Amino acid sequence: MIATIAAQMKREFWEQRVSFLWAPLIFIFLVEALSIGVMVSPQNLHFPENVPITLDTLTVKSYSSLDPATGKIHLDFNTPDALALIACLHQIVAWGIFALMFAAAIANYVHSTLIADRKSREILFWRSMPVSETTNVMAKLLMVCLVVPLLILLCNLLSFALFMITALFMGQDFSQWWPALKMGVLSFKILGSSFVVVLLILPFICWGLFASAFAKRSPVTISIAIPAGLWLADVLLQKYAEISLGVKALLGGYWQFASTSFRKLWGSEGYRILDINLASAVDPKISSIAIIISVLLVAATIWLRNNRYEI
Amino acid sequence: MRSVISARGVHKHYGKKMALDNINLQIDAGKIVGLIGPNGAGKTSLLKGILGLAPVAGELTVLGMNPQRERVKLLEQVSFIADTATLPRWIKVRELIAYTEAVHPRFSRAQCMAFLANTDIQLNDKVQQLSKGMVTQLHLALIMAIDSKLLVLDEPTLGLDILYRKQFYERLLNDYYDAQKTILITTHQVEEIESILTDLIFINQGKLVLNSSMDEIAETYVELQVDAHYKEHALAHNPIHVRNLLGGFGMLYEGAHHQRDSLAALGRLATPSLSDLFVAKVKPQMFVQGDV
Repeated sequence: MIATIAAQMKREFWEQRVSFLWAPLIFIFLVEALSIGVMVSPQNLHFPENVPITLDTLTVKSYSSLDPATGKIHLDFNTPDALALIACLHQIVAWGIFALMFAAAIANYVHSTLIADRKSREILFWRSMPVSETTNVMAKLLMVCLVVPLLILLCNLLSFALFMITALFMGQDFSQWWPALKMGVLSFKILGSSFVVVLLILPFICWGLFASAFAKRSPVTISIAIPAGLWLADVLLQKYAEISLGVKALLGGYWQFASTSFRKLWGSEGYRILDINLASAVDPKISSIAIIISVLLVAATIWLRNNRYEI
Repeated sequence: MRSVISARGVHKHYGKKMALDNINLQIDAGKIVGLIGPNGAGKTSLLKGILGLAPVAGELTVLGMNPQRERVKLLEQVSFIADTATLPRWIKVRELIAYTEAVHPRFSRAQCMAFLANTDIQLNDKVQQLSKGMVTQLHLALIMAIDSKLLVLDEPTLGLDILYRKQFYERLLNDYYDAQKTILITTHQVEEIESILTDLIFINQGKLVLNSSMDEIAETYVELQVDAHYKEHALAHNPIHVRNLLGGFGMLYEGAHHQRDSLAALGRLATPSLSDLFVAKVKPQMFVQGDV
């Protein structure tokens, strides 16, 4: 069973190699180019003067000098710990870039993966293999929920490694370079945040898979039109008939929950970066409801794959 | 002998259209069965039912299993080739082999590689880079490397040139088939499988119109090639089908064991080709003297 799921996941990776391999490599080099640009011509990073930046093992009290003429802070690369701070910022910014890139890839993936094989008739080959649709759907879900966060970690580590190599080549003092290199553990902390983000968006991932399995032509249309239609119907019914379907409240409540959780993840006070207890980042009650909805959607998806469309 | 496929009262309809109408059949192990029928006859519906790809009503067991409920377990012992367009175009040959090896307990990589060694297919080729014939060779290599008990081929040589078609059936017989395996083939190119079949099934409008071994067919059906002079005498023996030949007629008779001698006096007797038999069974003509 595990070998079959692993084979299915490898198949997904091979099929989506543009999204899961080539695009990340391109983005790694884009991030590296951005990093070099920042290091070659020092940018004015707009931080308030002398704000303490607290990380796990590093407290930077003052890392910059204020230019009285412009009122802007100049980041001094030769200041002790400055490179370590930049290394942290690099990982956080890179994570954000990779997360956005993979978010687009995931959105495309979940909406296309269970319709593409039906359209191309290659489903006839996959169905000739002794692999159940449950295994098939679970493998796709694991790709999004497990593999993508790990890929983000890998991209972060690779881009960080490139950044540190570049810093060394640009003449960084080893006494500052080494502490900065140790900041690489931040990528593993960010991995935890990646999984929390996946949990937050899990219902939408499962909804996308369901739309992909349900659709005859356009999963994206179904994915957007049905919730939008229900939301609109709820708004109109509430306005003109004072009847609530609960859709608006549900979607609004979930949006509130997700945005609160995101704020918790990234710190709501000043610049406390990743100083979080992951368990407290999300509301367990609402997370449970999100997981139940996701499970129901996955079950419906599997049912559709087994019963809905004959091939 | 335990039957590989057993169907009793199998039926299926799509809306008002009856795709399968009370199908009863039994296919034993070690047979090569041809399932022949015109377009829309129900061949693919029957195959889908056998492979668990579509639900059918009635009793249907394949290798003692219910294809719908035990599909995954069944597919460990059943291999299936649809037409040539079903291999994923984006996948590389070595990835396809690795995948099949990982998910199929009866797949032999060494055998697959041995089959591929006789082709021009490279491991790093993507399926989309292969010609139609090479895709079929690849699919066949994969399937033949699986030690399955039942092989179902649905129009496997569609769109292939004659060289690839001949190669396909030669390899199937020489490298794959043995007394323990059963092969079920559907095709429109009846004449090219005629020589390899052990059993024959004709299906038309969802009903079986013929289900017989090739030996029985040779005993039951005979074609008389008669010239115009003896036409009326030949018609008196109630042929099920008459076709025009140059200077005469070809008349096909069913159950003609006791009539062979009298028929032989009228012209030349031969075992009908499957295509002529197929036309005769699907579009029988009841003739009386004076009709033709």
